[in-house]
Amino acid sequence: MTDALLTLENVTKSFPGKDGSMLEILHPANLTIGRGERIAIIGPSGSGKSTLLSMLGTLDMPTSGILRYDGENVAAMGERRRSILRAARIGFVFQQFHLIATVSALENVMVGLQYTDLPRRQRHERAVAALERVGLGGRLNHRPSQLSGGEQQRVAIARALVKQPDIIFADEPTGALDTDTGHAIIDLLLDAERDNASLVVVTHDMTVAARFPRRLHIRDGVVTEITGDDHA
Amino acid sequence: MRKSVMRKPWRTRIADLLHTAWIGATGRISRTVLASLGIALGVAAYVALSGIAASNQAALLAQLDALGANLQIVAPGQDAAGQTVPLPAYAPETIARQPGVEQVGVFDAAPSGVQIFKNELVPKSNGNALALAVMRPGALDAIDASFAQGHGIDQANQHLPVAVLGSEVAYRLGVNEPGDRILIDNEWYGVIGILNSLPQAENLNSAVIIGESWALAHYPDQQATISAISAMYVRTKPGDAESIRRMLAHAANLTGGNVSVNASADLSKARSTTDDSLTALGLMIGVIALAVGGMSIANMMIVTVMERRGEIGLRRALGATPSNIRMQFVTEAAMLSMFGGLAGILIGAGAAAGVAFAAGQPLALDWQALPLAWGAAVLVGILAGLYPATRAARLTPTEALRSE
Repeated sequence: MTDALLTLENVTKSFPGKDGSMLEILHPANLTIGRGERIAIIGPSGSGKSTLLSMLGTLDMPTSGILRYDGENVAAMGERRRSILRAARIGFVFQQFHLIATVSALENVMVGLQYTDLPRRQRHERAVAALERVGLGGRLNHRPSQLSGGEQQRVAIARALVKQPDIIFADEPTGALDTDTGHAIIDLLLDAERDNASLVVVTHDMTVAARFPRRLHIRDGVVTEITGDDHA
Repeated sequence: MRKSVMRKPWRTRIADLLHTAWIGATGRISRTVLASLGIALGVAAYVALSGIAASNQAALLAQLDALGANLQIVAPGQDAAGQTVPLPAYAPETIARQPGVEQVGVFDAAPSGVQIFKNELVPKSNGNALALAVMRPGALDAIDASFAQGHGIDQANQHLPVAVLGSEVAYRLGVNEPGDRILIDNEWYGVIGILNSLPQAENLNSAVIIGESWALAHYPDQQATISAISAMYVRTKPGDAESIRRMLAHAANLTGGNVSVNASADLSKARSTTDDSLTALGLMIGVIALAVGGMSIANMMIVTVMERRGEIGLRRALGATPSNIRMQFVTEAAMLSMFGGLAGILIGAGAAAGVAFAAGQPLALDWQALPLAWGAAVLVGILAGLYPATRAARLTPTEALRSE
């Protein structure tokens, strides 16, 4: 287990329900994500996929249990150090792209490095390289509204790749795209293996999930490992 | 293993902050303009009204200087016993030699017991407080007196019984034009000139002026009185007046006798008491408009924060700390008020220039107040941005990302 990047130890997540009682969305989960590992999380909507992803991405804290990043307890880090961790080592891709509408593709990718210690010039160089890598070298100065959905998602992937992260979390990255475009996006994400980055993709599309060597299934807050390819 | 920290050099951090705020503020340009309009109007009101006041003041001072802020009256002083110390006869020459002195106009003491009437029909008991002044040649030029009608006493007429009337005298005696006669000490004198009102030498307005040559010839028994100097009007270079006052006193009486030196009109007081009410009004309007402008910025920032929850969530996911988010929105609000303040200064200065131009006044702005007004505007923006920014910083990343 020396190459474990993220571990969940009996992690649960509860939210207050309408009547004031706590609703356990995620039941005690134990999970280890290794370096360079590529994982798909599948399950019906409302099953707790996004909640799990938020916690893995340190955006949200477990109600109980311990989440370790590189062996360190994330809950004990404090808001500031978690932010620094995300800035330097974690990439995110969202279903709705979350691009800043008023600036160019290049600027959007550079925002991915804004909260790191890299000087501006280096951020610029890296952003250009990242956009070239996702095939948008010719559209650096286009605004999101001038790009197709697939291109916008590629900008978002470039924004995640640009920081050369330890791990990329993608929440339904193909959800807003047609099938072919979606698979092209998954190609790009899987390509992150080049950098030995781990990849965790949440999807409800089985054809997408089938392309990942490791698959987790969530239903009603229970996480199950699916082994082999036969379920796809 | 790369260990990365968020320790950027300050310059980079500030550049990033300003860049991000710029993107935010210019993203929706029409809203930005509307939100910063209040600030612009506040600053403009203050800059314009204080500028108009300053222009008025500059115009007033120019007028005062033209009248006689640079005109000093040197007269005999009094000694410790209250006795008048006569000015030595050399005083006009020594004074004229001093640097900064441009012209010296000398008036002699008038013969005593002289009464002035319009004609012989006026009862002798009905004296009318008119003074007789005896001038040496060129004295009226030194005062910069101008004639409403007629002309002054010169070489051609200085041996004749002629008189120049001050404006008040002409009014009281009912003399409307040169050519009339008046009765001085039971002698007829021809009026050859009537002066305009002299605010720089008010006592001459109620004086009848005759020439020294005639006076000496006509009052041989009073020659000693008449040759004594009653007052010298000393015109100096503009602005030098205060500094040479002491020098004039010494030059007028080298032996150290007491000499009275006064500014002809008390203008130094007028210089310092200029109209502050316009500036105060501008300040009041400015403060009110700034407060309203601050509220409109706060209002817009609250809407902006709600609309941009997605961006806030994204930035948190990308590693922004809550204080990064807070700073971003505070800077954005400050930037709005910076734009507003700059626009206000331009509008206000333009308005002040327009008014000054229309009134034919020199344009003067309260230069020290401009950066202060601008600073106040930026401060208002920062205060207005604090609450919305704090709300933005308090959003958890998941909350912010959920809402699109």
